[in-house]
Amino acid sequence: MSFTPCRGITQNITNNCQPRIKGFEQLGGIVDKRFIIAIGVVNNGIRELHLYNGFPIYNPRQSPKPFNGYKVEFNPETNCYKKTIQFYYEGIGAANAKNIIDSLKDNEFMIVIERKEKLNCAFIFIGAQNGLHVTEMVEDEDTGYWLITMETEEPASEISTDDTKIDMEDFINGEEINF
Amino acid sequence: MAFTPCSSLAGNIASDCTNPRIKGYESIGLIFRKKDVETFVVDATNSRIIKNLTFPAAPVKSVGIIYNPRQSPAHFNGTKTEFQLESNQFKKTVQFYYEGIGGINSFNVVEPLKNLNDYVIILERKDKRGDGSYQVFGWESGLTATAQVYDEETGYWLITMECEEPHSELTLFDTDYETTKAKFEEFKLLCY
Repeated sequence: MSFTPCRGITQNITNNCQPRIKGFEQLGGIVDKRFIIAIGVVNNGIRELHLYNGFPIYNPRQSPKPFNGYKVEFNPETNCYKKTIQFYYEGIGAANAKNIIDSLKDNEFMIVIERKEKLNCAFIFIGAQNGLHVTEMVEDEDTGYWLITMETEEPASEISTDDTKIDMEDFINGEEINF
Repeated sequence: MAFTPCSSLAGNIASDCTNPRIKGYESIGLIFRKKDVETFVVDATNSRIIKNLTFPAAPVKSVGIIYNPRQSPAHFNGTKTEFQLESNQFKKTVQFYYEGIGGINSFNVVEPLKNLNDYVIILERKDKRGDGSYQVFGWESGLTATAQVYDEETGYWLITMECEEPHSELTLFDTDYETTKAKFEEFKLLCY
C-alpha cells in the first residue's frame, strides 16, 4: 500500500457571523470504561457505541456554571490533546464517599456533555479514547461541595456524534446504548 | 480466587433539589487520641462508617472539646479534604483557633498537638441528614499539627492539623441523626 502522509486542512478557517452560543447544559452522563463494550471513532465521530450502566452528572448551579472548567489544550510533547473537565458534587457521608468519590479515583471513565449550541453535533465525548481519571478533588464546607477535576490525553481534539444517535435519558439511567 | 477490580461508580452525581446542602460546621468539635479508644464498631458493609466508640469509664478523661464560637473565622473554617494524585490518598486538613495563653496552656494543649500523631477529630456539620452529619478526621492515619501560629493581632493560636487517608470521608453514624447525636453528646461528657 502506498504511503499517505497526514492530510491537510480541507475547510476554510472562517467564523460564522451567527454568534456562538456558549456553555453546556446542566445534565451530563458518565460511564466507567469497563461498561463500554464497543466504541468506534472514525474521523472524530462516534460511529459505533455499545455501553450500559451510565450515571448522570447533574450540575444545576449557575456558579460555578455547568461543566465550567472544561477545556482542551494541545500538548506538543505528547502530540495529543489534554482534556480537562470539572464538575461539582454536593454529596456527603460515608455512603457517598464509597459510591461516588472513592470509586471515581479508582477507575477510568468516559463523560458525555451537551453544548447549548445545537449545531448538529452538540454531544461531546471526553475520554472515549484514553479514559478520564481524577487529578483533583477538593471538598470544604465553605463551598459545600466536592470540586472534581478529571483529565485525559487523547489524539482527537474533539469527539462528537450526530445528535440523533444518543438518547441521554437512556444513557444516564443506566440503560443499554447500542448503535 | 477470581480477580475483582476496585468497585465502580454506584450513584448519581447529582444535587438534591428538594434537600439542598447546608454548609458549615457547628462550633463544637471533639478531639481524642485513637489509643484512648477502648472499643469501636465499624459498619460491616462500609468501613467508612464508625457506628460506635467507647472510652475508659469516668473519672478517666480522654476526650477534649474544641469550642470555636467566633463567626470570623467561621467555625473550623479552612477544614478541607483534597485528593493527592501522587500518593493516591486524601489529604485532610482541620483548622481551628485557640485563645489560651500562658505556660500551662502551652504545656497542656499547644505542644501536645504537635508532639503526637494519632489524634482524631469529630466535627458536626450544620447539615443534619444523618450519615455525613458527624465527620471523622484522622481515624485511619491520625492527625498531627502541621502549623501553629500565634500573634497578638488575632489574639489566638491558629492551629492546622493534617493527615493523609485512603478514604475520602469517614463518619460517625448509627441508625439516624438523633441516635448519632446522642452518642456525640455522651462523648462530650467525657471531656477534660
